[in-house]
Amino acid sequence: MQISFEAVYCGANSDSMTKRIQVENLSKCYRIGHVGSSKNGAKYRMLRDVLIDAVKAPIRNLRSGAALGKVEEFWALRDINFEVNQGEALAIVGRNGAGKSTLLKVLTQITTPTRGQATLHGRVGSLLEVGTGFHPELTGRENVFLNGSILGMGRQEIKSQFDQIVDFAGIQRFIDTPVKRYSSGMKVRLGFAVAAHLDLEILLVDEVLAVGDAEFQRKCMGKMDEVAHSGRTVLFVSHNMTAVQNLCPRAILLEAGQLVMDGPSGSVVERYLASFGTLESSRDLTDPTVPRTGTGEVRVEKIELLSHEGDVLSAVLMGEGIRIRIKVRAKSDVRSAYANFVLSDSRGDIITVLHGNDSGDCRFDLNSGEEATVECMLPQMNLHPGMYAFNASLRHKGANEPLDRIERAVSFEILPADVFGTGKIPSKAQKIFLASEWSVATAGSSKDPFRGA
Amino acid sequence: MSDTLIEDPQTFLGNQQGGAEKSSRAERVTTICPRSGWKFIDLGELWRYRELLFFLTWRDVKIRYKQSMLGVLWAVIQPTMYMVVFTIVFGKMAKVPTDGIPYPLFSFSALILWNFFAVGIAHAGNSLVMSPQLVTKVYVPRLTIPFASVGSALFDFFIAFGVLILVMVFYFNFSGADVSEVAIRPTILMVFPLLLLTIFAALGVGTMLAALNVAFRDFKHTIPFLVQLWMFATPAIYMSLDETKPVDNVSFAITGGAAAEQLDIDSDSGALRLKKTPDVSNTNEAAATSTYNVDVTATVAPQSEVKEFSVWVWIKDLLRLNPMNGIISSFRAALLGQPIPWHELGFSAILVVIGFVVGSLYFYRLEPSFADII
Repeated sequence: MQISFEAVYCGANSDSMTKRIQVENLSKCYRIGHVGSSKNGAKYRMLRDVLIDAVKAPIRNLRSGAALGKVEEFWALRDINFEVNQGEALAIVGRNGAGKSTLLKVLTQITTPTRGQATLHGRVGSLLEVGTGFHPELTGRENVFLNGSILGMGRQEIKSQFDQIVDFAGIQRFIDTPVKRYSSGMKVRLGFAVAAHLDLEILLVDEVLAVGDAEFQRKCMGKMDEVAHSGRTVLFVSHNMTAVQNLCPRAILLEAGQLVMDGPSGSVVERYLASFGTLESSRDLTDPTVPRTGTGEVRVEKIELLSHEGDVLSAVLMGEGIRIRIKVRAKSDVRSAYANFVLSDSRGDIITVLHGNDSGDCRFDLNSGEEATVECMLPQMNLHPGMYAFNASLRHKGANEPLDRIERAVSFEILPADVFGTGKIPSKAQKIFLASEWSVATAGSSKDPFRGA
Repeated sequence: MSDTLIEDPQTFLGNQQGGAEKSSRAERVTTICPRSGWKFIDLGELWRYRELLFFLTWRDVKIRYKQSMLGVLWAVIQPTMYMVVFTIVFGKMAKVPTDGIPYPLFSFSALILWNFFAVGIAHAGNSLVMSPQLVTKVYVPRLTIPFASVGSALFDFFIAFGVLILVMVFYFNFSGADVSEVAIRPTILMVFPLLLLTIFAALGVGTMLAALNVAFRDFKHTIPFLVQLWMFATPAIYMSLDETKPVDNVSFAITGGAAAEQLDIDSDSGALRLKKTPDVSNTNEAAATSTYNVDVTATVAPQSEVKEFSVWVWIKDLLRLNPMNGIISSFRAALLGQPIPWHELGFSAILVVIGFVVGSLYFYRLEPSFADII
């Protein structure tokens, strides 16, 4: 079935379509020099270092072509090839550090590639950040003009769209107030409103929709949808898989700077998500490459999925019970900490949140260096077959920022099972099933609930 | 593809070697490929972004004067205060020679242009590192960023220029000061080409500093220092070295004459003095000697012989390499109706053109790496 889909997709990519973006063997290499001792120090080259180095080792410098310190190469992109047609919306998915943003930066000319070539036909607009160039001292009106011109709009173009932009942002009353008095939500709304009115043939959008309140996000998605279906060519980077699947029929998957898959977004998203958990039910999270946020005062070191009885497992049958067990270690003293697990499906949609302090008091105190094991038991997984994942986070009372948070810390598959004992697997187009008890009363029955007992 | 898309000339970016124009159709094609080495600036692209240049300049001006109580007055106060301080220190205390021009006029006329240059290069030098989002979050031709800084300094210049006109009107009509050396002559129109030259000088130096500031993060410490030193190397508050009238080394001596024995001579000034005061009551003596005849020889020592080994000469030659040297003294001369030092100006103009080309090409060469290192 998937093969036939690919075939259809290939047919659409025939030469009869106008190619808007052609990317050939695009590669980008960063040189990470090791000047100075600190990791950050390596980023900036100091005149001081150059001078000291020149004095210290003039001969070596001459010989080695003035290479400073040890230089390491890092290929953020490697031989990327793809084409995008007129009116097509293409999503770029991949994990953090896979090269998505670098690819977008190369295509927007912010940085130059090391090898290869890309050709873009038409005026290019990019939205890597909402409200680039906004200045807090300037009013909303002034910033609209400034931001618009930075994004490549002409003054007349901005003028003619001004009312629509302000309308879209919904900040008519504050348009002549300095932006520094705006709430962060208002700033984002205004920034997106300007960008949404860019009238260009190619639009490159980074993860900018993950901002603002739920209502505005819906508005943004609506606008993006409109843009994607208006004949413009859109390249869209996002971690929100629902957004990717809704907006873009096609997606490419990047892994470690290489393009590993190009196809319909449904299958690309599936592969992307599968690349996360690996189906090992036990995952060591001490590895520094694990993407995480939070203060780091306490960290999850290991997460395990166990069967109801406490055995290791990787696949769960519909309706089976599981245990989630985490091992945490404190770096400093914490009081009243608790764990949270967020269950999401393969599209990234949240299904439910398990709060450690909701059902019973499950808070714990830890001194620096101590470790604890937290276990959460789910007697029945009322989920339909598919891929699911848990985010793991540690919080403590009263603090907004989590102590530690790992997206998709562990993922697992729910396998179909005959939960109702009918010999059939329940229909697929659902997320959850609930245990339910039914009764039916017919005309002659005294049990009819609508008639009263 | 709708026809409305066709609006811009085809442009190529990067080192599209042999990347010939594929079609004469006016749709914009952007080719992205590795860029390295020295390339000429993409002027077409810069022209397309002229509105952005305007908005960035306007932003800089607006921010500078927003929320400050005195607002735009600052553009007036700064050079005026400089003029007052320099008038006291150099005009009154050190008595710097000004060729008969009242010192406030003398310094203010040069200071406003110098101030434009100094503020322009300092702002341009810091412009890139001050707005990293413009470099890392969006693509704009990066040259517009230091250019806009110079543009906002130009705005200050025009305000200060207005003040200068008021000062000149005051001096000519109401002050009662000696303005015999000053006049309004047709050469005053030279201020416009001189301003243009200064703009290019500031753009060249400013872009160079901006690029260096990104490449070497500690370069910013050198900028204020550089501006300060440069000011003292520029004839803004003192007279241009070549304008100062040469003081001949003349020595006087009595070499003969009837009364040679009776008179003394000051060898520096040539003033004659009687050795013995004549007794006026003695009428005989008075009558006989009321006329003294002496031969005085003035010997002019060749200048080169005197100054040949002086460090001063060497410094003077070095200062000639300062492009602002000829521009500032010509600007003052044009404003105050004095002869314009054309030779120095020509030399300065050549230096400015070289500086502009080198500065912006260096900037353009480093540009591809800006987003990676800023």
